[in-house]
Amino acid sequence: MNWRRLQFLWNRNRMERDLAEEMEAHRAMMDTPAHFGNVTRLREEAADLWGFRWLDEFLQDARHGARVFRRSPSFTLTAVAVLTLGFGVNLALFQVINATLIQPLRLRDPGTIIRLFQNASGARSSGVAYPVAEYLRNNSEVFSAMLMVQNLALPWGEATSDKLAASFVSANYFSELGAGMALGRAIQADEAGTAAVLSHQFWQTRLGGDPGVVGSSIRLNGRAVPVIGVAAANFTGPSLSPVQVWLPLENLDSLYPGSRWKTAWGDRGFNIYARLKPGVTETAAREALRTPMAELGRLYPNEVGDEPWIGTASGDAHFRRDRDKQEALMAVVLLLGISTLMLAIACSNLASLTIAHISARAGEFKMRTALGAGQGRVLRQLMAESSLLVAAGLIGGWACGYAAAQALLAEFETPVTIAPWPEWRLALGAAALAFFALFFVALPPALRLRNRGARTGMQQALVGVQVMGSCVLLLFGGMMTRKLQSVISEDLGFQFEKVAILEASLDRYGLNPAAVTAYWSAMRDAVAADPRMTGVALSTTAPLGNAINQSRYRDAPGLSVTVVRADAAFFDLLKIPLLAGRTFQPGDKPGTSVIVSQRLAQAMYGTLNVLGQGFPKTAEGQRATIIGVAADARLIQIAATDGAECYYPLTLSSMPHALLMTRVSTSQLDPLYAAARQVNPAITPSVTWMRAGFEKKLQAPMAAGLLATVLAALGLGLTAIGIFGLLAYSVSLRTKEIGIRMALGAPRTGVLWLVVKKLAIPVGAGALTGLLVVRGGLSKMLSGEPLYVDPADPLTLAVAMGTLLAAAFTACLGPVARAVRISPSSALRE
Amino acid sequence: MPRETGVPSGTLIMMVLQVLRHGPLHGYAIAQRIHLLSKDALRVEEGSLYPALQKLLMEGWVKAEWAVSDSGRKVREYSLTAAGRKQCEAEVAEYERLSSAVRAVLKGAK
Repeated sequence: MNWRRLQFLWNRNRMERDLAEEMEAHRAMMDTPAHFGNVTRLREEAADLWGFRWLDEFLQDARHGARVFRRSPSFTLTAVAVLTLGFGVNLALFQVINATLIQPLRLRDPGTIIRLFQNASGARSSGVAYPVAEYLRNNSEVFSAMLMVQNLALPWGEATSDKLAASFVSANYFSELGAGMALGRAIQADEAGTAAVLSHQFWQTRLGGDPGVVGSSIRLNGRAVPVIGVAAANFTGPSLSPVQVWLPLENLDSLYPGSRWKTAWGDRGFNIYARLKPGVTETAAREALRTPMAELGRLYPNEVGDEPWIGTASGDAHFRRDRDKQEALMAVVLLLGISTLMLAIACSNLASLTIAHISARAGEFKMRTALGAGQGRVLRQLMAESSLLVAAGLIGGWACGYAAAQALLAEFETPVTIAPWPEWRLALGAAALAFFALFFVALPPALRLRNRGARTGMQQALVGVQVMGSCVLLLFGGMMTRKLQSVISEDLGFQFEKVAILEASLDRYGLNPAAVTAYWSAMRDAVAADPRMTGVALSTTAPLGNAINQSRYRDAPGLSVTVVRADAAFFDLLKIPLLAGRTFQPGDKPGTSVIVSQRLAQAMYGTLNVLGQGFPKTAEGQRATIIGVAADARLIQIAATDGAECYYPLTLSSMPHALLMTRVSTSQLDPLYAAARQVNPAITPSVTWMRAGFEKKLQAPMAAGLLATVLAALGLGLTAIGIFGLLAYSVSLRTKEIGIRMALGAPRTGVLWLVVKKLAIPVGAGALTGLLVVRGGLSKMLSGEPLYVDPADPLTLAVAMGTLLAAAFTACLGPVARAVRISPSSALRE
Repeated sequence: MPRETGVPSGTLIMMVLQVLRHGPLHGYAIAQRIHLLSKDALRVEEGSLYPALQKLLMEGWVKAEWAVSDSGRKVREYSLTAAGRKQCEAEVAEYERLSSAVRAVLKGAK
């Protein structure tokens, strides 16, 4: 019946005409046409059955509202600005969340692609070794295609410091993922020699969108590589981390001569994606891979580890594993919570503005009620008027939100493009926001109209909501800022300034153990010989890097222990003091000597006097002996409060994927590159500043902190305006009363209290609720990974509350000054 | 002449559907037909006929088309749809069940 109603609505004019003509004909056929009655009234009664009356009324109210708003432009502008702000924040975050976390990846049929993760007992990794992937492809029946991807940073152009995010991909990559091309062609199976496909973003931003780029060449790792195509703008690849150039996998050989990635069983550096055969589920595929993995465990026990197995993640879930999904969900909940709060502040602000505006139109509403309008009718009128404001705010918010979302995505170099027109999920979200706003803005004034008289309870409640929202935002912003401040200013426990990391990925070149040892000792010598570099150390873990090797011990509950294999010079280079014992010596065996950090010693043994103790405290079988205690150093998780470290000597088998660290005094990394070229020109290392890792780790918390602070400032500003509005209104309502009190000799402080009293309850209750919200729910979410904020920090609480009170106080000044200056005689004359 | 009354409440829709069973009719003719069939006992008010017809249209039980009457006048004729026919049968059956029940009560109470 509903579609028919729509049809009727569509043909409404014709239907009305039909009805009128029909009735006219009927009248003419009657013996006494006068008996027909009032044609217009009958027609309207019949037409009521179509159910369009609400629409007529709505349009009538909207027209009336538009006239009212035209007459009071300042109210209208303020209202639209407030709503634009509320919607803008929400829609910007919606856009970003939708584009990066929810919207399906732009791949052909992403639900049937899975990513593989090679795991073994006690060792999880995010990649797969190439020969393992190849073995699985040849020895399992569940995949119709397997995509192999190796992401590397390649030096670009003449300077060695300029690097591109390069992706070496198997030949089926573009066709299997359904990628379109903007220019030229994709990588093909029989690609002869080197070839590069550029990303659209790289082509546009770094090469100026040169239309003749196909056929030219770019310089990668010192070689000229012909450009064969540019990928379509909307192609992101399977992950949303930016890729600037794609190269055929086989090019690894020519760009890294001598590399033996095809037989590097221990190098789990490949990202492997597989297309499931029709009808095969992700779980079935995972189970089917158990047999070949067990076989590999027998064939290569040292390389693939104990009890090897393959973990999977589906393209529908953006290739996120369960743990990553939780993190993503937390980010979404947090962001949506904050933005909803912002909208609630904006709407309650506007609702109290509307109440003030309505009391200026009291005459009009009295007239309407006198003419017989019921409460429902008045609410509908307010809704119609508010819907105009909401529509205008939504348009403004959409524009601002789109611009902000684009800026945010560009800031994080996310390769997703967002369209200015609404995607259906966004349109749904926007509609939900609009309804939320409509009720929030129209309902309080309607309730207020019902309660006649000079009461301010409704505005007080609305101010309470605003104070609550601001309080939560302030506390959140404060906690984030404080955490950032402490991370930046506090000592991490080690010195990373000017330290460079050289990653040679020797396991890719298939060097034998002797050659690996020789390479590292030659590198040490070359670095030591250059006066621009001081100190040199090897380790398996890059401090401030992304790779984590963590353990938890029964003897030290609640501590995540980062396990590092390093040489003796590691502590000296990073300036990690040894509090007791000694560093490693040549005779120390990997399994028997260990250096623990201060916190680990305290947690496990309750004392720092642990030299010579067995580690871990209670373990079966062979235990290591503690030879030293190092000061705490937050090597990887810089914000963590539950971290500790333990260090083992380097083993021969860990040498191929060791990293070299040294302190470089020049501003560029050239000396280290030069040393590497001199030692072995065939090996192309990747060199980075340790500081870059630090900055990268700060990026997300910085953004969150900035967002929280900006929102807190905006929310507080709105709340201050709300408080000002409440007091100004209450003073204007009570001018006469205050005048009489003054005339009777009331002290000014009494009058002051009379006015400020209105504020005490909403501000107090709002702040208390806000505090409870933060302490109750939010702090649990924030105190752990990855933010580690301290929800109970007294300074944060004090500053947040102080700011709130200061803002409330400032907002009071105007109305209070007006109140105490009311002259009794003029007040009584009114 | 028998006394004229309005249509008993709730039965107008059923009667309109019923008179349309024998072919399309325009509004005036529907009113006339009911009047005649009731032996002048019932008179359909225009004020209730047209809302009823709009309801029938909205429910999709009848459809309306412009036609030229025998007297050469342009009239809007209503005809039953398949859904309308089904609805008519259901309503008549329901009405008969109800009225026989009422009759039984009246007879028993005598």
